[in-house]
Amino acid sequence: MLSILALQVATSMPASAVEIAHDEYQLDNGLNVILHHDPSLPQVVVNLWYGVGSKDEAPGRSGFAHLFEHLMFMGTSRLPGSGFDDLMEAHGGWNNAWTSEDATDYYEVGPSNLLQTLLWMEADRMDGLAGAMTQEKLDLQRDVVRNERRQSLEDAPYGVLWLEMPEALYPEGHPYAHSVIGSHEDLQAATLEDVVGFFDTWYVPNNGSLVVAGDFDEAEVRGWIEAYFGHLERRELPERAAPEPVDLPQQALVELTDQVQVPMSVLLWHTPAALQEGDAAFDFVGSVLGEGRSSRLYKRLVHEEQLALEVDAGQYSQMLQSIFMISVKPTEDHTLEEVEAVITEELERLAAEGPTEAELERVRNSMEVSFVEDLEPLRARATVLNRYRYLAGQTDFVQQDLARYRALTAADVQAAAAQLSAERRCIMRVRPEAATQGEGDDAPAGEE
Amino acid sequence: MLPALVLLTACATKAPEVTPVLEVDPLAAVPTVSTPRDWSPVVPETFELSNGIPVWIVEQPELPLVSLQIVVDGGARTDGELPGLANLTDAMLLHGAGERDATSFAAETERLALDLDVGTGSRTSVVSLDAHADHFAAGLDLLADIILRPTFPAEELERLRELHQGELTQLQDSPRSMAGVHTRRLWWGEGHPMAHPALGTAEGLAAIQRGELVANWKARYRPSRAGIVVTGAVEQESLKAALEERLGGWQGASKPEPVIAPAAAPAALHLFHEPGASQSVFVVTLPGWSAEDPQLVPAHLGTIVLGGTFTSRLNRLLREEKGYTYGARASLDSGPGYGMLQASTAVQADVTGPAMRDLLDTLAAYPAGITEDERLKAAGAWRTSVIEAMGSRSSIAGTYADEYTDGYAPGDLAARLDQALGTDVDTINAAIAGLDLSAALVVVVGDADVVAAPLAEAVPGEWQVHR
Repeated sequence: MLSILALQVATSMPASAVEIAHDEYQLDNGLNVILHHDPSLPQVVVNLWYGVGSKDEAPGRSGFAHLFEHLMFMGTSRLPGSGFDDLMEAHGGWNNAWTSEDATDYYEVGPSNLLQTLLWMEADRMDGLAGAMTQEKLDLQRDVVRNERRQSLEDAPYGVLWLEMPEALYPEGHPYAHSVIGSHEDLQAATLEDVVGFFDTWYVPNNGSLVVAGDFDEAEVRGWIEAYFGHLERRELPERAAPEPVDLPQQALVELTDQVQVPMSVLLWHTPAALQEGDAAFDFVGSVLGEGRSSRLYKRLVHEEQLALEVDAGQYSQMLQSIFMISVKPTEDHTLEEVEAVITEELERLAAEGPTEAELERVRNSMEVSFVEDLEPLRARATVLNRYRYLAGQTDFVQQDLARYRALTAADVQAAAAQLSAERRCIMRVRPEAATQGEGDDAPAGEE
Repeated sequence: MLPALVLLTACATKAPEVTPVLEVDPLAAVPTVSTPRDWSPVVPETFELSNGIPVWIVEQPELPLVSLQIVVDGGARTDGELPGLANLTDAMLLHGAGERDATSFAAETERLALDLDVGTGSRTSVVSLDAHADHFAAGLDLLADIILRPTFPAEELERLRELHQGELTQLQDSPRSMAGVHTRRLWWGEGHPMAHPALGTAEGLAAIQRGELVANWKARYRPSRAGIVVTGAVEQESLKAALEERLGGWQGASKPEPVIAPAAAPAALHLFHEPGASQSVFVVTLPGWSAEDPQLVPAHLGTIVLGGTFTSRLNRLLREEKGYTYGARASLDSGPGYGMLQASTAVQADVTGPAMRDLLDTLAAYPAGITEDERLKAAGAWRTSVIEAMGSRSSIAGTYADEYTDGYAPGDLAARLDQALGTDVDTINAAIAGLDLSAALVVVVGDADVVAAPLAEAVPGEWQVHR
């Protein structure tokens, strides 16, 4: 059986019918189960997606959803200490997890003979993680997460930008108004009671969706899932009122410094939520402007006028609402203001004239091929099934997702570009620290 | 919640009218793991073009995708006096070829949704093409243009020179990248062909002239230096005809230069100052096993135990027990005539001294040997990594291109997996027993004002501090 069915249709360009075959059902306790059978390799992927992210954190506890993700690997009474990783790796498995503003996703990869154990381990920690939590575990993973913050953001070039971006875009109290990694202060403030409360609130079967993908016997897997997860208790989830959509950023201009030698500007706009009306058009705008060497911004800024070293544009799709982002780094003899002005011109031109037919053809072809390529690895298919279920409310959404792009017209792209106006944007600039220190070497770092 | 686990015991004193309820914890017992099913990776079929280029092919018709990689021996080690030359030459191939200038070449590539690229490593360059099957033939036309008919437009040279200089500048902003750059230079020795990053140096990039690009292309892009790996929806006979038509006329030979091994292990302690860094980056390098070494497979298994998985010795200690870091790892880099074992991590600045001591102590204990449980873990990780490598067309092509680069035959990936699964713990321990920590090259990138004293205390010796 083909895991992805890709059919050719008779057009000059390759249009594919992409399908990820699967069965879906719910346990009595509300756990959603998705089975995707592909025996072509002796491997399985288990992907357990919880509907909780940094947007659900309590005030003063920024970074907690991600910290909690780390704690999920710290053992239970049945499998204490590092048993989760030890047992998995003893048989050739490995695992990881990620946390975003919207969700937390745990996944395991291993040989197919390890599947029963992987399911048991996920059920075990969904059942008993909190009961085995200790202050020592919390303190240890707090240190690890704070080092992740240092490594991934504080010491990484331009990392300051990602730390400051939420506050620049969203009003205080908005679920997206703080970073996923959180502040050192809030991470330090997290308590054992917070851990137990978060677990009891969000890590319940009716807030989870379990994908099993790969080489398995379906009847056997259904039996294991019922046996291991079926007895876990459903709990009422808290009401989460959707915030009012934010149209304008909180700040129009943010000036930052970092230990970099090349300055960078990021231009940001609020855009429609993932998979919602308008979202796909902004993906197209991003491709027309910044994907590849024939895109408008690359051609003009990097190739023709040599004003920029690099430029990128794209839609960062999220559950509540999305962000459209253009980043640019000028060449040595040019300024941030110069390259920003060219970007503004090109946006206005796209809004006034729309994309050409050749541009639409290029972007459509790219989308068609990447839909098939991106879904080839088993792990990617497991993730996307859960993503569609969570964001679209429909697991079987891949065809509709592709159809969104196929249906786009030049007018749709033009209308989306028209929303990227100077009045609605936030510009965040990162300049080299040394450039802001004046002439003397003894000026304090960061002094303007 | 955990259901109450009620053990049935005889209880004669209890009133008989109460029937005991048996609740069994369905999670009480860890499932037994069965034996993995027999499996081997698919082995490529092979043929040769009329000009002698070997071709490896894995036919996978289920999806309409084709991945192709052409490995060209040489890479950045051919830069000579102009570090960055091979990388700039490779980049120029995509900026003017055949009848197309840079703009029209990019437009055609992107119109067809082709992923056509050239990557430059120290030892090889790789031309890669990922295409929808319907556009594979058109992609091959463009690929043949860049290999056989690049035009090296002078104006593109100036554009790309500036972009590469910009990349070089940005490389210096990343402490982790710079730890690798410093290690490479110190390990191979100043002036060695392998000592610089493929991106080159500012001086090298500034000095490159168009004639040198053309000469570098002519010297390296020869069929005698090339090998091709293809995976996907293409049949062997049609592939052979398509390649023959486009690359069969590619002629000329030039002998690849052998990689020169470093003269001696440069044991030393180096601290590179990074003002204000909140973490210290460590890279510790030891002489390892070359590609020809019969102990390479057991040495790889040992390296997985040392730092190849989450529960490896280094990550367990430095991250999971001490909380010093977000992660620590070890890896083996092997090539013809050389090999190195590297342990690396980034730790918060205020624990730099004890973290370095822990890392070196872990390395010092490693030659004493691993356990049977650790061996099983390493073998399982190896098998899973090969299974995953067979999970997409581009990954299969990349895996076998690496095999070709390292001088292996098409069936060697499967043979080495069998060897790894069958290697006993004594064989691994014999391979790693000879590691000598006194030969370690230690590179730290961190805030010297904060970490120099703790490092000197934790690791006595002559620290060279570079400000």
